[in-house]
Formats: sequence, C-alpha cells, structure tokens
Amino acid sequence: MTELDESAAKDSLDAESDAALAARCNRGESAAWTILVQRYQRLVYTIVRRIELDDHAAADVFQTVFSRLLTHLPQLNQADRLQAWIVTTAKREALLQRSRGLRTVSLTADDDEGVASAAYDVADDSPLPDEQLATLQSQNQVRNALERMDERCRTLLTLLYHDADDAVAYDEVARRLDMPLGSVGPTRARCLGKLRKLLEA
Amino acid sequence: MNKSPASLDDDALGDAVRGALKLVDAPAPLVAAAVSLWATQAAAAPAATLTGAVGAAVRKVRAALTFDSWATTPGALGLRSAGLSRQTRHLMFSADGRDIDLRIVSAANSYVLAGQILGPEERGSVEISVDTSIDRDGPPPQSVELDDLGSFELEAMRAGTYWMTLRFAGDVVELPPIDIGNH
Repeated sequence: MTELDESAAKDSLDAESDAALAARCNRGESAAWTILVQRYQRLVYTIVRRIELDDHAAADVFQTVFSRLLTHLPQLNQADRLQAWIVTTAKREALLQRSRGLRTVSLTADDDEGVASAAYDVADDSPLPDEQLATLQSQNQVRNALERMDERCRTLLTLLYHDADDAVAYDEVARRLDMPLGSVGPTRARCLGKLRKLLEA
Repeated sequence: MNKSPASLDDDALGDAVRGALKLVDAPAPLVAAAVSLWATQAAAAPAATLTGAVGAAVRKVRAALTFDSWATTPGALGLRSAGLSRQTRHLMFSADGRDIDLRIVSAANSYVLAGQILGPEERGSVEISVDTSIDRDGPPPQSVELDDLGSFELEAMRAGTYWMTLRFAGDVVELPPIDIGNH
C-alpha cells in the first residue's frame, strides 16, 4: 500500500462512527483501534488531569481506561454510546485512583463486567460534574472534526479561535493565508459551515 | 454548551472551537502504549483463554515504573532512552507487593534481559513479546519459567519495544512497554 493509499484509508476510517469502528475492532482490524485511541486520547487525558492526579497515576489511569475499553469492545451493546462509556470509565477510574492514592491499579475479573462495579462506588466530589463532562465531550467532537477539515479551513479557524487573549487579527490572518482581508469573514462562515456538516455526519 | 455542537450558530460554534483547541494531547508515549494494547491482547489471547478456563480468580495487576537508571529526570513518562551508550540499564517496577528488577545488558549485536521478582516466594513465568505495531517482523513471543530465586534470563534479544507479562498462580502482572537497545 502506498503512502497515499494509507492516508486515504486513514481518512476513511477517521470519518466512521464509533459503532462502525468498534465493529471493525471486533473483526480484528487493528487500524480501527488506532483511530479510536486517537479519537479519545485527548478527552481521556483531559478528564484524568482534571482530577489532579500526578504524572504516574495519570499514566496508569490512561492505560487502564484504554485497556478496559479494548476488553469491553466485544461486550458493548450500545457502541453508539462509546463516548459516554469512555468518559464514565475515565472519571471513575481517576476518582478511584485518587481515593486509593496508589500507583498501581488492580482489576479483578469481576470488575470487567462493567463500570457499575462496587469497586467504583466512589463519592463524586470531583471538579468534573456532568455538565463539565458534557462540555468536554462536545469540545472533543469539535476538535476531531476540526482535524478532519481541509488544511486551509483548519488553519483559518485555528488562527481565529486559538485563544481569546491572543487572538490573531483579521489582517494578520489574511496575510498568513494569502487572502484578501475582505475574504476572511465570508471564508470563516463557510469553514464553520463545513465544520457543522462534519459534526452532523 | 450541552447542545449538540452541530446545532450551534456561528458565534457559539466559534466558542466551541476555541474550547476544543484548548484540549491537550496526551503525551505521545502514552498514546503509543494505548495503541499497542491491541498487539499485547493479541499476543496474550491464548494464555488469557487458558486463564479463564482455569478460573475467574486471576487478578490483573498493572506494574508501575519506579526507577530507570537511564532516565534523565525522576518520574519521566515513557521508557525510551535511545541514543545513550551505557552498557547496562537498570529498571525497577512495582506491582501490588512485588518489585520487578530488570537489567538490560548490551552484548555484541544483541542484548541480555535478566530479571528477578522480589516479593512473595512463588512460582511463575515471564512472557515477552515484541510490539508488532512497531515491528511487524519481530521475533516470536518467548516464555521462560522463574527459577527458585524468582530470577530469569533471556539472551540474544534484538533491539525493539517489548511487552512483558508475569504470570503467577493468582495474578497476572503487566508491565509498561520496554525499549531494548537503540533503535
């Protein structure tokens, strides 16, 4: 397979739903697993760090979440709710790790039955209430969609929305993208439209 | 912002983009290790089936790195130390009451991986498999029994990223990926 073929295959997988990727994983397609990890690595890492674990504990929980996901994929009845499963598992694993204050995570065979195990009955006193988790999920969807956009739109939106305190002025955006100043606004609107379509897909 | 992002107007979607851009990537070694779980599971599948048949009382324990003689800073994430020329690397992992002491020694064109399990006296075995997501043509998985002192040695290992699993009567201990040699 040439590099172009591989890139096209990756783009194709990138566009697939969680449910489709989970089905591919269950058929033994390792590339689908790679896409799932890439799709959710930021979200899991952000959740874990918001629980304020140290580097070692954060690394342990990160690995545990994906290890459990891989184990659970064949048993997930609602693959379209994969994101919710990942978020719930990440939060509960992180809280469990914090409550234990240990660097190792032990999983009994019984724990593999689901996230509702008694081992996860940890008081939810985290700085991550459901509303914030929902916001993080939306942001992760937007970020993944942004990465699937063509380079020009991705660059324009990144420059315009990179940081409210460090926003790049329209004239600078026009200069960097070599476009007329008057085109920045309409192009921004078109790119947001493209982003919306990717999010709807 | 709990509406579907696809339903937001331009201003709100712009704000969502701003928030999305603040999400930070996980460190590359963590992502690579998560991707490599696939290969580990595939390599361990026969053993896992056997374990399940014997009984459901087997615990999986994840070991954590506690010392790396090549680490530049304590607590550094990832174990890669490519480019350093020292002959021996000493790694120590901790896993729920056991310490796993590993030494990687450069020998001519290969490496020797020697280790000892420090903790309760018990029988067990060590399985090691190359990360096939990085090296598809790597050597086949190897397995060796622990001796009476809880020690083991694997010779003539080639450079690569390896997954190591320790199997005891009641526990399966999984180590993070280990880089052997400069590759």
